[in-house]
Parts: sequence; structure tokens; C-alpha cells
Amino acid sequence: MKLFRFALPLALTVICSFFVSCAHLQPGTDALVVRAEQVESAAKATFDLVLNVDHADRGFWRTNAPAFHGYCEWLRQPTVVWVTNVLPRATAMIVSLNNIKTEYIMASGSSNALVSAIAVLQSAATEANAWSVIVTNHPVR
Amino acid sequence: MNPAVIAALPIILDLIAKGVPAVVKLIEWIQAIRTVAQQSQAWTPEQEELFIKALIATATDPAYQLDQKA
Repeated sequence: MKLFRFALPLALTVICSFFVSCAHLQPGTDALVVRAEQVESAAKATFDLVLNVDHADRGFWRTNAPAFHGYCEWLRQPTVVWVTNVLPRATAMIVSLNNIKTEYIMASGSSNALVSAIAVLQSAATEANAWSVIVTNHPVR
Repeated sequence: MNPAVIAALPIILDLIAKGVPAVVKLIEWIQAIRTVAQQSQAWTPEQEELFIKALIATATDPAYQLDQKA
């Protein structure tokens, strides 16, 4: 029984390490591009999370957490991208960074523009992340 | 990231939207996946294409639509 008490947490830790582990950059990979892609995927997952949580019961959040619901509505505002397409602001911010990343890869964009775009999306994702912690009452790992 | 995990994401998000029992555990799982995504490597062209398609799909995703005006 004593052994089980120590073995179980150890086994769980080992199992979890399979799911959450650090990856290395492949040779020749541009760290700035990888950073942009990390921010894009993390922002997409974060926006998906907060918008789906809000969408699960909009009336509840509108009444009990109006600031959270207001932020979600801000993320949903239609925004024009690719000249004629309209996408929600959350998506448009990611698309914008992706466009700048593509220009940077094609050597027609500057690293300064890419760094700035990463910072903009990162700040929006950080705010969404903070809301996800508040409304789910669970700390992020 | 494991393709099976990517494939499971829409199902898990749908379950969260439905508020199934133990929904907090599902949210924790999503948060863990996000942590893994933050450490992923550079995308292949196929991954890039899938990501763009996922972005475009949000235009019709109900969770991404503004509140209905009364």
C-alpha cells in the first residue's frame, strides 16, 4: 500500500512527460519563424478555448462576467483580411501575423515587422489566456 | 504534435460547448495541448495549409459569431 502511494504519482508524472515535452529546432530552421508559428498555434488554441467557453452559455457570461463576454465579443468583431474576406478579429490577427511571416520567409518582409506582429498577437493571446484562467478558475500549467 | 490529438480537438471543443460532466477536466486537457503546441517545431507546408483552413473555418464557427441582436 505504501509502495502504491509513491508509485502512482511517479507513474503519472512519467506518463505526463510523454505528452508534454520540449521539442528541438531542426537544423536550418529560422527561430523567428518558429516563434511566429508557436504564437499562432497557441493563440488559435487560446481563442478557441475562451470563445467556446463563452459560447457554451452566452447569457450566463453576459450577466455574471460582462467584461469576459465583452472581450469575447471584441474577438468576434468582423475584420477585413486578404482585401475582400471578412473574418472574426481573433482569426484576422493570426492571419495578419501569418502573412507577415510568409513575407519574411520570402525575404520581402523585415524581421522588425515580424517581431512587432508577434508581440501584438502575443499580447491578445495573453489577455485571452488570463480570462481563461479567471473563468475556469484553473491555473495554466 | 500527434495527428490523433489534432483530430480529437474539435470533438473535445464540442463537448466543452455542450457543458458535459467533468468539463473542467476537458478544459485542462485543452490547456495541456496548448502547452505542447507552444513548443512545436516549424510547420511543414501541409501543416501550414491545414492551419489556414482551420482559420478560414472560424468564419462560420458559431462560437466566433457575434451575439444575435434582439
